[in-house]
Order: sequence, then C-alpha cells, then structure tokens
Amino acid sequence: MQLVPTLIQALTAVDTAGSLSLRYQYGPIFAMLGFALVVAGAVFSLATFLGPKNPTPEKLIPYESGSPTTGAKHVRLSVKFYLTALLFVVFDIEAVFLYPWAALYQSLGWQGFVEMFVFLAALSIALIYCWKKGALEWET
Amino acid sequence: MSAVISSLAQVTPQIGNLVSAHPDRYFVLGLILISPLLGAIINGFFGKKIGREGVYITAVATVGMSFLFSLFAYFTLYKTAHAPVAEGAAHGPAQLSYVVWDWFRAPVGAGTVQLKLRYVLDELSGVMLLVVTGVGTLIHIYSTGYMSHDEGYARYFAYLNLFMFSMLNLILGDSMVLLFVGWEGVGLCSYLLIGFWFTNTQYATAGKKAFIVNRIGDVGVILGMTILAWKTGGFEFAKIRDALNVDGSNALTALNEKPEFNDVVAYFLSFGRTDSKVFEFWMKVIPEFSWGGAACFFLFVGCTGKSAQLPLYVWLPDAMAGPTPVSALIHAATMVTAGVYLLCRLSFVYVHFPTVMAIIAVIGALTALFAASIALVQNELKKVLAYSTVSQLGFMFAACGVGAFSAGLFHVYTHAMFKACLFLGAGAVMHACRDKQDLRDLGGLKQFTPHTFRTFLIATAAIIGTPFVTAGFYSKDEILFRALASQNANHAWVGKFVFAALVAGATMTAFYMCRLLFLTFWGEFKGWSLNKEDYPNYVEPSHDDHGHGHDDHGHGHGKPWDPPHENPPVMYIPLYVLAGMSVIAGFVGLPYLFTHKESVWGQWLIRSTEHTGKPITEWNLVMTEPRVHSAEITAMAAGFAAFAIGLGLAWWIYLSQKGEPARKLSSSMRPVYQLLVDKWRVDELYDFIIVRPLRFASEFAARVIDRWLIDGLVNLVGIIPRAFGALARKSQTGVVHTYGAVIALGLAGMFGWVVFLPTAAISARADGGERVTVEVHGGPNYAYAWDIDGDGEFPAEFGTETRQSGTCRKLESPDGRNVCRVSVRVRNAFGHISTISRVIELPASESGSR
Amino acid sequence: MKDLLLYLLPIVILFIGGFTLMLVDAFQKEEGGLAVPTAMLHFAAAAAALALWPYAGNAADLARAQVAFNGWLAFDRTTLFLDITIALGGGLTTLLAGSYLAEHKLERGEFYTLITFASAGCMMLAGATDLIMLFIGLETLSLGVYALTGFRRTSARSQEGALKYFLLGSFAAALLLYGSALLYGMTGHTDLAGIRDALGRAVEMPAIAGQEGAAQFVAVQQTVRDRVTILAMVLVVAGLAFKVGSVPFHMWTPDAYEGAPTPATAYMAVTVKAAAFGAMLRVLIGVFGDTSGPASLAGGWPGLLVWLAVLSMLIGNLVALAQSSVKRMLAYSSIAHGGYILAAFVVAPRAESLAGGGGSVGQSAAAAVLFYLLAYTVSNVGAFGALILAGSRGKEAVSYEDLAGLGKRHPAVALALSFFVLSLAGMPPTVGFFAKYNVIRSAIEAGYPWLALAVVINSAIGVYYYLRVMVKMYMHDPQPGAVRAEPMSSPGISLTLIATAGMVLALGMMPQRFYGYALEAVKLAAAPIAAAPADAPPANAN
Repeated sequence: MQLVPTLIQALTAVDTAGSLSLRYQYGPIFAMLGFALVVAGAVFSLATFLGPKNPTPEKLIPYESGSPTTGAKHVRLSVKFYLTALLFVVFDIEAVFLYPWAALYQSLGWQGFVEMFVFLAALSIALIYCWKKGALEWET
Repeated sequence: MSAVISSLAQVTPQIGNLVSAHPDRYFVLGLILISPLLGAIINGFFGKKIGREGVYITAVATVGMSFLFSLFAYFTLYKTAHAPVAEGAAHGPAQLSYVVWDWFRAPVGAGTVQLKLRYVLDELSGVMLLVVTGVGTLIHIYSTGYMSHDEGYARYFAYLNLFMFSMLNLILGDSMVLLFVGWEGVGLCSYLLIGFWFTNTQYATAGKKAFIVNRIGDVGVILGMTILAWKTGGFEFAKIRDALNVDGSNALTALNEKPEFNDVVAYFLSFGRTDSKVFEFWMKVIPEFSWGGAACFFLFVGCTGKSAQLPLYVWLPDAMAGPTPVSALIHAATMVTAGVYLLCRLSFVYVHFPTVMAIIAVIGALTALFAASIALVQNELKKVLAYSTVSQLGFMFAACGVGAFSAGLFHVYTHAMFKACLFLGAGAVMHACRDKQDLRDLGGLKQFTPHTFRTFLIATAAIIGTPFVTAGFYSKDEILFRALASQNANHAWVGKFVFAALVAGATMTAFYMCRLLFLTFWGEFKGWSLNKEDYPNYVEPSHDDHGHGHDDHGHGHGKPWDPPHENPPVMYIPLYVLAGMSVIAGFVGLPYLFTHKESVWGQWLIRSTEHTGKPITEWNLVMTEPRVHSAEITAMAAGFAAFAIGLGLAWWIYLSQKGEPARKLSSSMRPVYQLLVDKWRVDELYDFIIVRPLRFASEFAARVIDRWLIDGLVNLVGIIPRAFGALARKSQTGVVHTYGAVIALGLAGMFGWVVFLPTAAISARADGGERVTVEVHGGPNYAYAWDIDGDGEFPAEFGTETRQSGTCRKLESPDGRNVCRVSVRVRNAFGHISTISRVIELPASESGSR
Repeated sequence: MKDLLLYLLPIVILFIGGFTLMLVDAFQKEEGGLAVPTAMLHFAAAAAALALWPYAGNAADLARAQVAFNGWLAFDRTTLFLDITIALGGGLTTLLAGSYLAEHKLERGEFYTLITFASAGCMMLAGATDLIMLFIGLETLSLGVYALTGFRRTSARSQEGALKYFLLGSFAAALLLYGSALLYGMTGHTDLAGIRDALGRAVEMPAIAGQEGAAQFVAVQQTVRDRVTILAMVLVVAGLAFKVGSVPFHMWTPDAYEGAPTPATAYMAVTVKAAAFGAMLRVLIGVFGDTSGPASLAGGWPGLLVWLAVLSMLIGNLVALAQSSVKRMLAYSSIAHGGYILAAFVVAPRAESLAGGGGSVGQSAAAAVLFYLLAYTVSNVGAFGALILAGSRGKEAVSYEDLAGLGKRHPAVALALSFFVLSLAGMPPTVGFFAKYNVIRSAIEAGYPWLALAVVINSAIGVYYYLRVMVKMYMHDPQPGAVRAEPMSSPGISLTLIATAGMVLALGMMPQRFYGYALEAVKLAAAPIAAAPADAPPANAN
C-alpha cells in the first residue's frame, strides 16, 4: 500500500524541504487514490465479514447452465478465430480513424482527401491480399 | 627528340603528363611496373596455353617495354632536372611520381600517417631503374636460349617477371612499407627460383636456406622500419628526409634519444658480471646507440641478409643452385644490391650515426676480404663467381660505410654489368660443356666458344680493375679513394682499415678471376682426356631426368664427351652488350684527378647521397685540393698494384707454370688450403652454434614443452570455452521468463548506475604555464565542486557551471613528466556524489623547471 | 506533398513496391520469382538515396524537407547513409533468400513483402526525429521481422524463436514507449529537437510566481523533471539496446537467429541493427549528447553504454567461442559486433577538435559507427551467404563439423567463406579491419584507452573462433559417415557473394574514401540535429 507514495517520495526528495510539492500539486490525486482504495476495500471487507457463509459442494462447482461441466479448462480454439479477429481490429481502427477525418474534412482539403485515400488504398490492398490468400474463407 | 616530345605534349593533356611531370600523375611509372606484372600473370596462368614461343615473347616483351618506359621516364627526369631555371635560383629536386591510390590516412600522435601506393622516380631510383630493367631485359633475352630445353619454361618466366615487378616495387616505392613489400617479393621470387628444379633435394634445400637466412634479416628490417617511423612520424622517405633536414628538428632529437635500457642490455650481454671488462666495453659501445642508431643498425642487419654480408652471407653461394641466368640477374646484378640501395636511400639518416657507419664499413671490408679468400681456391665456376659477388658487395658496403654512397652505387652499376656478363658467360660455358663447371675439367675453351671467351675476357678485365679502360677500375678506384679520404667522426681508424682491407681484397680478386679465366679458356680442354671413372663427381646425363638442369639439350648425338659448342646468338648478343657496358659504363664516373670537377655520376646523385656538414662526410669540407690529389694518387696506385700483382701472380702460376706452384703451395700448407676450400668452415660453425642447439631446443620443446606445457594449455583452452558453454547453457535456459527477468535485472542495474554512481565526461586543456581549463558534462540538474589546483580540497558549495579555469600545481611525477591533476566532485540529479579526476599534461617549455 | 514524396523517395519506393508485391503475390498462379524484383526494389531505394545525396548537402533542400516532414523525419546525409546501408543489406539478403527458399522448399511470396515493409520500417526508424515516428518505424520493422523469424512454419525451433522474439520485443517496445511517454510528460514534446530544447530550459511556473514557497516549488519541479528525464532516457536506451541485441537485452538473439531461415538471420543481423543504431545515434547524440547545453549526457549515458559495450563484447565473444553451430556462433558474434559499435557511441559526444580528421572527436566516432554498420553489412551478408551456399536441402551447413573438409569438396565456397570470416575478424586489407580500426582510434582519441584495449582484446578472442571456421574447412576431414554439408549450386548466391566480396575489398582498399562519406554524413547531420528551434518553428507545438 505504501509502495507508490514511497516511490514518489523517493523520486522527489531533495535537500530542501520537498514535501511542499506533494501537498501542493499531487495532493488531490493522492486523496482520490486513498479514497478509492478505502471505499473499494470497505465494500469487499464488509461483504466478507457481514455476509452469511454457508458453502455446499453444489455451490462451489462452476456454473454452466445447470448441466455438468466436461473437458479441460484450456480449450484450443481454431486459428481462424484469430485471423478474423485481427481483420476485425484492422477495419475497426480504420473506422475509428475515419470519424475524425470526416469531422475535419472541410478544413483538411484536398490534401486530407488524398492522404485518406492512400490509407484506404493500403487497407484495400491488404484486404484483397487476405481475400486472395483465403483468409476470409472459413471452410478450407 | 625533344621537339617531338613537346609537339606530342600539345596533342593531349594525357601525353602532356608524360613530359611535364605533373606531381603524382606521371603514369609512365605505373606502366613500368604493371608490364612485368602482366607478363607474370599471363605466363603464370596461361603459360601452357600460349606455348613456348608465346611465353618467350610475353616475357621479353613485357620486360623490354618496361625498359623502354624506364628509358623514357629517365630522360624525362633528366630533362626536369636540367630544365632552365631562373638566374640564381637553385634547382629543385628532380622527381617524378605517380600515386596509384591513396589507401588510408591515420592520425598518429601529432602527425598523420598516410598509406599511399605512391611511386617516385628520382636520381637514385632512376639509376637503379635503368640497371634493373636494362640488365633484366638482356637476361630475359638470354634466358630464352638458356631455357630452350627446359620443361618448366612458363613457370620460370612467370617467376622472373614477378621478380622484376617486385624489384621495381622495391626501387620505386616512396615509402618503407612499399620497399618492404618489394623486399619480401624479391626474396620470395629468389626462393622460388633457387629451388626451381625442386625435384632435386639439394637445390630445394638451398632455396630453403636462402629463405631462412633472409627471414633473420627481415626481422631487422621490420624493427628498423618501425623504430624509424615511430621516431620520425612517417614511412615515406621524403617525409623522413624533410623531418631531418630541419636544423635541430624534433625528428632528429627523437632519433638521437637514447633508449632507457642501455645498462640493462649491457648487463645481459656481459652475463650479469658488472665488474668485468666485458661490461665496461658494452657500456662504452651501447650508449652510442640511440634509437636512430638502433634503427640504422637493424636495417643494416636486414641488408646483410639480403646482400649477403658477414655473417649472413652463407645463403648466396648455395643459391647458385638455381638456373644461371637467375644467378646473374638476382644473385649478382639486382636483388643482392637492394641492401646497398636501401643504405643509399636512407643515407640522410645514416650520416647522423657514425658508429653504425663504422660498423657497416668494417663489415663490408671484412666481407670483401673474407669472401675473396674463399674464392681463391674454389673449383666450381659458379662458386667462384658467387664468392666474388659476396666480395664485391662487400666493396659496396664498405663504400657506403665510409660515406661514399655514390661510389657504392657506382660500383653497383658497374658490377651489375660485368658480373652479369660473367655469370651469363659461365652459363654459356656450362651450356656449351654439358653443365660441367669444375675448373679442373675445363680449359682451352677459347677456341670452341670464341664469343663467350671474348666477352668473358672483357668482363674479367673489368672486375679486376684493368686501369683506365674498364668500368671496374673507375668504380673501385672511387671506393678506395673515398675510403682513404674519409674521416669517421667517432672512429678515425675506419677509413685506413677499410682501405687496406679493400686493397688486399682487390689483389685477391685480380688473382682468382685471372685464375678462373686462365683455367677455363687457356690450356687444353680436359674433357676429352678424362675418363668417367677419373671424375667421380660427374653425373651421367640421363634422358629421363628432365628436371636436372641442362643435362639433356638433345643434340641427337648424345655422347657424353662431345666437343664444346658455341651458343646461339640470343645468348651471346646479350653478352656482347654487357661486355661493352663493362667498358664504357665507367666513363660517367671519371675521377676528380682527371677532370678537376665532380664526375657526371657524382653530380647526378649529389642530392641523394651527399649530405655535407654531417659528421660522416666532413672530408668534403676538410679536403683541400692537394690532399685530394695525394689521396687519389695513392688510391689509384694501390688499385693498380692490386691489379698488377694479382694478374701477374695468376699469369705466372697458371700460364707459365701450368698450376704447379699452386699444387705445391696447397700441399705444403695443407691446413690453410683445406680451411679455404671448406670456406672457413662457417657452415659447420653455424651448424655447431646455431643449428644444433636449435635442433636440441626443438627436440626438447617437442618432447617436454609440447607434451606437458602446450598440451596442458590446449586442454585448458578447451576447458575454458566448455566452461563458458556450460555457463551459457545455464543462462540461456530457453525459458522466456528468464529472458524477461534478465532484461528487468539489466534495466534495474542501469537505473542503479545512473542514480547511485554519478559520472560525467571530463575534458581538460592546458592553457600554457600551469593554467588549465576543465570542462565536465554530467547532465541536467548536476552540480560540481572543483579542485583545479590539485590540493585535494573541494569547496563545500556545488555550482552548476560546467567549465572552470585555474592554476594547476605540477605533480611530482617519477618519470619526469610535466603533469598535474584536476578533480571534480559531481553531484547528480539524485543527490549522490562521486569524484572524477583527470591528469593533464602541461606544456614542457613554459614551466621552466626542466 | 511533392517535397514529401521527393525527400522520402527511398521509403516511398519500398512502400509502393511492397504493395505491388502483395498484389502480385496474391494474383500470381505459382509461388516464387519475387526475389529478383524485391532485390531490385531495394537497390532502387539505395539508388534513390544515392541520388538524393547531393540534395542533402543543400541548405534550401534541407529546409524544405524539414517543412515537408513536419519534424517527423530527418532528411540529411546520416539518414541517406543509413538508407543505403539498409537497402543494400535488404537487397542482398533478398537475393540470398531467392535461392535459399527455393532450395529448402519454403518459397512463399510473403517473405518478400515482409522484408520490403521491414526495410521501409528500418528506414523510418533510422530517420525518425520524433518519438512517435520512431515507435512506428520500430513496430513496422519488428512485426515484419517477427514474421520472418517464424517463417519456417513447420519447424518448432523457428516458431519458438519467433514467439520469444515477439514476446520480449513487445516488452522492449513497451519500455521504449514508456520512456517516450515520460519524456513527453516532462517536456511536452515528442520531437527530439523540442525535447532537447525543453530540457535545456528551466522549468517555468509563472502562475504562482510571487507566492510563498514558489521558488522552492519550482526547484522541486525542476528536480522531478530532471530525475524523470534521466530514468526515461534509460528506458529509451534499453528499448533500443534490445533491438541491437546488446547485453543484457540479448537473450533472444541466439534463439531467433537460429530459428529463422538463414537469409532472415542475415537480415536481422545487419539491417535491423543498422536501423536501431541509427535511431540510437539520433536519440542519444541528438537529444542527450549536446555538450553545449545543460541537458548534455543526461546522467551519463556514455557511462551506461560503456558497460553495455564491454559486456556485449565479452559475453558475445566468449559464448560464441563455445558454440558448435556456425550459425549460432555468427549470432553471438553479432552481439559482440554490436558491442564494438557501442564502444564508438561512448565517445561520440566529444566536441573537442580532432587532429587530422577534419571533424571533432565525436563526429569521427559517429562516422566510425556508420562506417562499421556498412562494413558489417557487407561482410556479414557475405558470411551468411557463403554459409547458405555451403549447404543444400537436408544437408545444411550449420555446425563446424558440417564444414569439415569443405576446402577440398568445394574450394570456391570455402574461399568465399574464409574471406568474409577474415573480414569479420578484422584482418587487413578487408574492410573489417578498418571498421575496427576506426572504433579503436576514436576511443583512444577521446581518452578511453582501456575501452580501446577492450575492443582489441575482444577482437583477438574473435579471431580465434573465426579462424576455427577456416581450420575446419581446410585442415580437417569430415568424420566418416557423418552428415556433411553439400554445397548447392546457385548463380544468384554466387553473384551476391561476388558482389559482397567486391564491396568488402573495395571498402578495404579505399577505406579513406568511404570513411570520408560517413564523416560527411555525420557532419551534415549536425545541422538538423543541432538546429535550434529559434530559427525553425517547433514542429508540433501543442
């Protein structure tokens, strides 16, 4: 618990009285941090101490829609999921990038237009490549 | 001629370079060098393809081209040297140079050491260039006849061309590095050519001997070169020369510095007995060796190896195992004179060290005497000539040693002519007599081989110094005169001693050369009267033994005792050229006595070899005309006497009395005779004091050191990597967590370093006197406390200034250096403090305390 | 836009070429045949960099480029020199790959696309003058190289190497990113010049001026800023040191180098290293190495690099000694070579003038770095190329034993390998000698004789294991019955070897000229790096 303040203390300690700065600038942050820790800690400990504990074997097994669990915990997933996820991320980021561009379209002018299309072209080539290489086909 | 040249010069700027001698762009030098190399490459790689004729043409044409280019370059040089200059202006150095490329440049100490591939033609190298390419061309032509029956002709000519290339490198290179490259190159070619008929073990052994003896000399060259470069700051001759020519120059001071371990060396040389006379002797001698003296001495050691002087001459007589033209070119005319050339090249250094000069003079004179005494009784044609070469080289070294570098070089030049002629003549004799070269078997050849006889006669006349008409007379006379007139600053007796020894040597030379001549060409040809049984050394020529010299030059009628026959014109025409040169070559060096002015030769080389005002050549200043005359007359008389006594004695013994007195003398003075025949038993001595102990040591090394020590070490070396391997495998667990942990640890270490161990780059500058300026660079929020004066006390306050000046107290340094120490305490941004300090070299001149 | 395309020409060529290669690869019926076009692409990039060389000496062009790049990238001769080195390394390794992949049945088009984009990333990294650009470049090249490492999909070793490289690389990238973030937090700038200038100024706190304790407050702010800056610098150094494989961030190298297909190993060893060292040059000397300002040598990074250099040399060499695999030996020796280069870095911030070299001590040291990179690129590509040529499918030359007797079996390959190994060992007249010589010389000039001694001793250790290759090839006969390397026949690789051998020799024969180019590159880099923001507006003032 004391780690972070100590570190910061170590980092800022000087020959002159340095405690001023902690109070002055980072005080609210530390207060906030302390408050959050206290509240979170309080909630958990209250639940632990006050709540009734009455464990039975049935209560301790993982819950899976009422049916008994089978198989190992670590399931191997097909690499296809990752491929799809990666492609999703790429186009997700494209979309994220397009929003601010669209918002600023007027002020960016032709240069912005060209630049975005270079970006889109690059992504399109990547998409074409994935497509031709069969990354989009589930059944192979 | 000059009109043609100047009109050509206007045609293209390229050709203009040929005559206008643009600095570093005179590419004719490149052509001179490249053409023998080209020949070597063609003959070496395609020799079999282009056939015998092709090889001959390639070899002769490339070397001939080289000679023609050399002539052209030489005349250009001559023109440059004699170009009209403004009234009263001094002639600049005549020099043509060509930079092939600028390899690299490195600042060393205060100066810059450059490694350039640069070739320079000046007066000195010009003379050598003409000798080497001229004689080389003649010998190449001669070889086409001599090797006409040998299977290894392509290899032979490839080696010979390669030799020419190396020799030209040696001569034209402008730095010691290039010279050394050439030096090694000619050594290699010599080794390859001595052992040319390598199927014969004895010949191969001779090659090996030459190789090993020369390596001993090479160590000297490397040591000398290194010391010289270290002390003068350069490898280039011109640079060293310029450094030395400044009066009171730093380079000269550096060369005159004495090594600090003189007494240590003396201690070891007297086997630790400091109370002995030996120690006293060494203590007297060794301190004369400054660094420069040591450099000169070591370089001279190299010269004794390459130029066959005492005590490293032993390889040269054995080197006669090679084909005779090789003996003529490499082991008489050119390569073996490389040592003389090196001395002349560095004469401006040598003149500063009279003791080394005295050593050179004495060694040269002793060699001349010693080798001549052996030559008196040798019975093999080539052996006599070999010892004669050693002896004549001794003359040259003696000349250099007494400061008469130009005279030494003059003898190199004349000797190249007549000795090449003699060797080629000997080769012609052997070629004519089926490789017989024992004087006891020859005789009466003048009727069979008239051309050979005539040329041999002229060359012999030259070497024995026939007065007034031969080149040998003038060059020998010049040496004798200069030896007599010289005054070594440290050892006044040297001049007289050298003179006496050389006169004795010249007498012997006259005797043994006449003996050789008479026994070979006069009298009866003994080949017919000998039976094979009477002559056990004779080896029956066998037709399946191709590698063995000229045993089989297939005339179809292969009886062993055919009458000797004259050789083809390709062989005797070069002989005539050389014989002619043996006569006329001398007239460029007519003595002062005759002409009352400096000879053409001396004038041409005056810049390269005469360094007046230096201790060794003070004769030049103290000699007045009458004294010059008296010395010259004495020398000439002595030379004449030597010639007359030697010739007369030989005439009486071998022509009048048919060798009877010699036989009587040899039987009455058996031990002396045998000692001479056995060449003073030097080989045996070397065997006893060097070879056997070495063999013993190597056996010991093999048995004890190798088995116990080296094997142990090798095993240890094996263990160490294995230990590291084990460690590496331990650390390289292959587990990513470990890798990550190592990274984290490394990072922590780096953090720790910057937080807890403040460092700063410190640089300091001496401002003159004891003033210094110090600058530190730590980092942001660093603070410093300064101790400039070196008293070890720091002010309490830290400041942020990064530069401070002040007075720094000189330290008491044990080695007398003028230094002081400044210290700075550094406080880093994390408040940790450490101290850094720097020792500063103060300027010596202004401190006033030395 | 036009300026941008012009001054970025090498990178533009590689990117457009990379996309083209992708399309070609996607649409062509059969695999293969892309090696030569890719190599040509790299050589075109090198040629473009060469063509831009005169422009980089022109002040007007430099200014225009600075405006066009908006402070993200540097257009100067240092960049161009590194671009040429990178393109050369990339092109030559691609040529090697063409034959290698075909021989080992690995021919797939994405290799070339990846290598092209990685090269572009390398150039971005080498030219970056902004921390964001630096990171983008680093990631572009890293992702490509991770994939190249794992290119042999069926080989567990390859996969393992790639995964380790990826995991640790991400760790290192995170360190770099964290350091960059801290630098941004402390200075408000991501561009290197801005950071340098901000560090040179005192902390301003006008809002509370005059209040009680304000001076003290500012002092504390200053302290915090400087301390954090120093730690951030350490993080950045660590991130870049990972990419050059310096001890203690070297652990991934043997695994990755051994697992990767040999051309990719060569690529990692030379090109990635060149780019990362280029970035280091800019960050350390450009930002923290300005000896005139108070931010100089922030907390003594030269002192840190001394340790990294000495440790890299020592551990790299000693572990290389113990290897039985030549490929692994080359991997460890590349760590050692990194150490030699770092040794030149240590002395780079010296501004004292230098006798004879025409620049300051620091400039000559930085030039030594560039020269070493070029020398190492040609020598090492040659060595790997010869190693590739020495083996064929199923009979690869990997261990020393595989090479036994190669001098008799295939003299040409043995000769080539010997030649490159001699250059790596630093024998004159090959370029390796001069590369080391320059490093040693700058260390001595800057007053670090013991560092020079360390380089010399380590070179001597290096000679031992390099010569072992030759001893094996020429003096040993293969064990009877042992699997031995059978040289393949490949005109492409032979040609590459001849070209690299020519370069090794040419650089060794004219070291002065090429070192002169490097020195020129460094001197002209001084302009944009040292340009104060007073005359050029801060590129991305927030």
